[in-house]
Amino acid sequence: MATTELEPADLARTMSWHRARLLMIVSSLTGFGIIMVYSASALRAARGGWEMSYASNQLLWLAVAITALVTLSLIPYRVWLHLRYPMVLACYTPLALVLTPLGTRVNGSNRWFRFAGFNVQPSELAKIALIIAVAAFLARIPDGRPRFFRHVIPLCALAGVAVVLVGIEPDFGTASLIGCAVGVLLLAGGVRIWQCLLLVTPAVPAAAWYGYSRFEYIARRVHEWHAGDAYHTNASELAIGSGGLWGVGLGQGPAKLDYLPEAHTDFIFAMVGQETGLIGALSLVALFAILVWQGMAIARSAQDRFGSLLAFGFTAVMGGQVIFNMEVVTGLLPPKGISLPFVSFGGSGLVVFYSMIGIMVSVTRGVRLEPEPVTDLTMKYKPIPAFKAETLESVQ
Amino acid sequence: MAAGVRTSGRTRAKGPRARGAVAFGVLTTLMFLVVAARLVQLQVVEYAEHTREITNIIIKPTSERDRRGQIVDSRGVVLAASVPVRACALAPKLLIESEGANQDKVVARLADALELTPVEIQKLTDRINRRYVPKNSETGGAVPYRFVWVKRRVTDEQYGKLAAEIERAKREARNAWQNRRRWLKLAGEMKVARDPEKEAYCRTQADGWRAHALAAEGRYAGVFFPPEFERFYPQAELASHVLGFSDIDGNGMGGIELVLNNKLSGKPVTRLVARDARSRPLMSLISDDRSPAGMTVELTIDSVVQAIVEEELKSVVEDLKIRTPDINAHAVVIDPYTGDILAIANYPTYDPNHPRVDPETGEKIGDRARRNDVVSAIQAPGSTFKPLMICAALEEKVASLEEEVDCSTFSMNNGKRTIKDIYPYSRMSLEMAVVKSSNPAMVRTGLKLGPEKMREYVLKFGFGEKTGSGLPGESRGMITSAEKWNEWTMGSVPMGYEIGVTTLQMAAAYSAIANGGMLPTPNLIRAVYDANGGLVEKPEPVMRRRVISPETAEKMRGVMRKVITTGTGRRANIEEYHLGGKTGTANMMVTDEEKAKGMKGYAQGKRHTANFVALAPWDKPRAIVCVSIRGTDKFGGEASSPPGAAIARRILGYWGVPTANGSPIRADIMPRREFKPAPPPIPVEYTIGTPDDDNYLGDEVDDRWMEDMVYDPEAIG
Repeated sequence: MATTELEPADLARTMSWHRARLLMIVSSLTGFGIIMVYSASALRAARGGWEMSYASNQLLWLAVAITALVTLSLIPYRVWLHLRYPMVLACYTPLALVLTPLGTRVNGSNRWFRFAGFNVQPSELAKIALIIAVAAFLARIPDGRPRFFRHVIPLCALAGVAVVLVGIEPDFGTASLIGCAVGVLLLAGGVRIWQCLLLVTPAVPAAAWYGYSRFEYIARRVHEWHAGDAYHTNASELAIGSGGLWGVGLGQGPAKLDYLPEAHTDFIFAMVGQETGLIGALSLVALFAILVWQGMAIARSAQDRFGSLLAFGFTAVMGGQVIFNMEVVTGLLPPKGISLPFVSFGGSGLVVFYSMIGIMVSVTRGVRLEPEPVTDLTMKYKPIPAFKAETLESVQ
Repeated sequence: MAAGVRTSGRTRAKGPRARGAVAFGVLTTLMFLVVAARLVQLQVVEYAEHTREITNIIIKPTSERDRRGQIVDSRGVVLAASVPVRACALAPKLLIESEGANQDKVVARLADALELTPVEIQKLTDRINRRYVPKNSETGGAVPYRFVWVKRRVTDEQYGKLAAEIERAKREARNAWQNRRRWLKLAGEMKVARDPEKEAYCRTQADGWRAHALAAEGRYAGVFFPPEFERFYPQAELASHVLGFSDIDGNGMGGIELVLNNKLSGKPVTRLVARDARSRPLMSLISDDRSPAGMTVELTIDSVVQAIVEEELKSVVEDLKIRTPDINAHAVVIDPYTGDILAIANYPTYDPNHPRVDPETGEKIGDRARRNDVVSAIQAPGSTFKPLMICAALEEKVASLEEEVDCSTFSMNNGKRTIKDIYPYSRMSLEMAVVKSSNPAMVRTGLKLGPEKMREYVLKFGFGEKTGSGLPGESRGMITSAEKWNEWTMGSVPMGYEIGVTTLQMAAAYSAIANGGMLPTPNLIRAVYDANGGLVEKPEPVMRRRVISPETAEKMRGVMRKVITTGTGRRANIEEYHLGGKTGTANMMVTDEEKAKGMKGYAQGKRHTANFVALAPWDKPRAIVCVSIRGTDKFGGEASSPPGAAIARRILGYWGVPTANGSPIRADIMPRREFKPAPPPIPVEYTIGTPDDDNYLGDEVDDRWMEDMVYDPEAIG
């Protein structure tokens, strides 16, 4: 990644602009998201008694997410460099635990923890923890040139285990998303493309074949999608297509009337397309594109490698997820359970993405005006007493 | 720097490390562009297609019809109104798909609650088991229907009971599902606690509750209550032959209900209703554009006059029935100046609320009893036709009332036919010949008129054509065609034979005498109002043509007065009002049974049509009363003139016409029946007729069930 050549004071000013823009984009996305969640869920919620129940739930989670954002933005991001091993643990443990009976089985997959009335998806946590860990390991590579055996293989193994754990939940959508994001991050971190391909090439078809043969369900979905009669895809294409240029108006979209499954979560983009039309949908696409551009700008301007890789990794996850989701909703990819960041209903997703933004804000805030004092490593340890011959005698 | 410790610095990033970022940036941009292109494709290029498709899916037309309009009389008495009622229907698809439903038991429960007959139960079972292949079916497989009637017209009591039962079953199912969830949760905890025995127990409990919930849901699976309207005739059999009746779907089946069905039923509005994926109606896309209620039809019928006529007919028929049981009667009262029909009555009658049973005996009745004889019975008018022929002769100046005519027995057709009176007369003035109803005198006068003129006048008086009242089943009567109009006809028509007329035609023809020579079109509809009370149409009185001059009409009214005072209509000579009138008796044709016995022609002396036409009062008539009793062995003057006079007396009294002899109007003029008020306009709750298949399991917790949460197999309903 490119790091900046600006003077620290100028860099800090640039970063504050980046920060402001990032937060503006995120808040507009979230605001739009809340409106769309309300619009898409009101009827469903009204059946349960209160039409605001989903939207208010989302607002509650938003409060939690904002707290997380503020907290993480106040923590100096360099801390995470030292927390890389705990991060690996934070990534693996929930993923492993969700496969045990502690996880809740919903629709044949163990994707959720359910406690105190909340559903938490451990793969969401895995995204953030894995990115931090991989970025930290990459940042620690001297002279930024990863060695194949010493760095690339362990890092790919680190990511691979997480991908496999998510994959056997099974949640192929999130698994491939994590795989792609980490892959991009590795490339950005200096791993050569042949190194990546060497490892990934045999893994991808193997994983694809495994998924296809092992899980009838996903095979059926892919078949259906290919044959053009996947219910979800048809419904969402229909919903978007009927929006036209200007849309049918907020709250007026009929697709949410149980025609479009998951209208307030994974397929909310279809509701956007229907209710706000091409104008609204393209605006949302543009907003996400600006978000990605902004994330890359932060990554480019970050003062150090770690900050740069963190910002890039998070941008990759968010951008990847946006693209996956939009392509599923517009019928370019077979359906899988991936939500639209900041817009879809869902508490844990919101908190996780806000946390990423929080860390990115921390990166923008973390410009050191003074050059970092070179740490004398010897200071970290107690001086080792030197060997003196005369004492030997006394010992003897 | 020691390896791996350096964490910051100004490393100029070049070469391979930047490639990942560039690749990502390019890829991302490309992907966003792909999404944007796809959006343009879906929303701009394929917009029309998608919109059409989604409209077809989501918006389903629902044909809705608001309540049928009322029929009221000229005084505002409601004669027919529609009231909302409940029906019970069933969605076989839901019943069959319901896991815990036992079809036979559901049917048995419904049969019990709605008191279905075995035949109805069998029908219901057959309908549930019937399958059809949907039009746009891809698989071509037969599927169960979505809608069958269980019972129309469910009483409030039955509905209340059944609805409460269904509500109870739903509640029970909801609670059972909740219990199942709790047991499952407990099972999960037991699993974590590694207590397989308890876990297995919890799972058994959960399975039990599941079965319970399904059974409770299945108890009345697919049953629902679409709202309907029932046609209600508050005055029961009053004017039933005018009103007609309507079938269970509210379509008019006779009388005004049939003629004005389009206006009464209103436009069936096809509302576009958006439905969610479970077919539940969400909103009307043509919001609140409710179909207008049917129009209100105001008749010229006056309920009081109608009731009077019906009472008099009933009493006379009940009297005469003792001698000749196979007897019926009909009558019409019309306003000669406007042609407004004030009453049309038939006896025996029927109750349009139950059009297929006799209101008194409860026996089944056929179409014959619902036939409106006033417009559809073709009968020989007999002597009531004579004044019309004399009018023609006077008008054509071939005769005068004062001239002497030969009333002796008249031999026609070379002696093959003899025209005679029961009491032979010799010579008298033409006026007296009419008063005494002398047949030979009429035939001789008719011969003076000649065949062409006679036929012309018959047609001019409106015979052989429909009167234009618009009532269904109206007959044009029977007139001998010009080619067949021979000597024999000339001998029959002047005395009212060889001609078939309806009583309404007679009433219209006599109106011409009463009003000074104009033939009115009998009219039954005073006005039509829309649902908001706005006037839609108000027919003006129509005079068809001038038939005779006012002078002739006046002369004839005088003759008719003499009929009452000194002639055949003396029984109608009441003190209160000075009526004019003419009696008539015609032999009825032999019935099919008698034909089989070898009889032919007229049933001589056995069955008469006893007619009476009254002008009330004679000099300036306000009403024409025509009474016709069919099947009696009595003569017109004997059988029909007393009820005719009674009707005239009572309606004139009801109108407050001062009595001729100055006596006060008697109290018995008013009908003995009471007029029932209209049913209150109960608002209708529009639930569009689809079953509520929403098994939404709310999160509400009903703690009453906590204690007896242990699954009891006996509890399954």
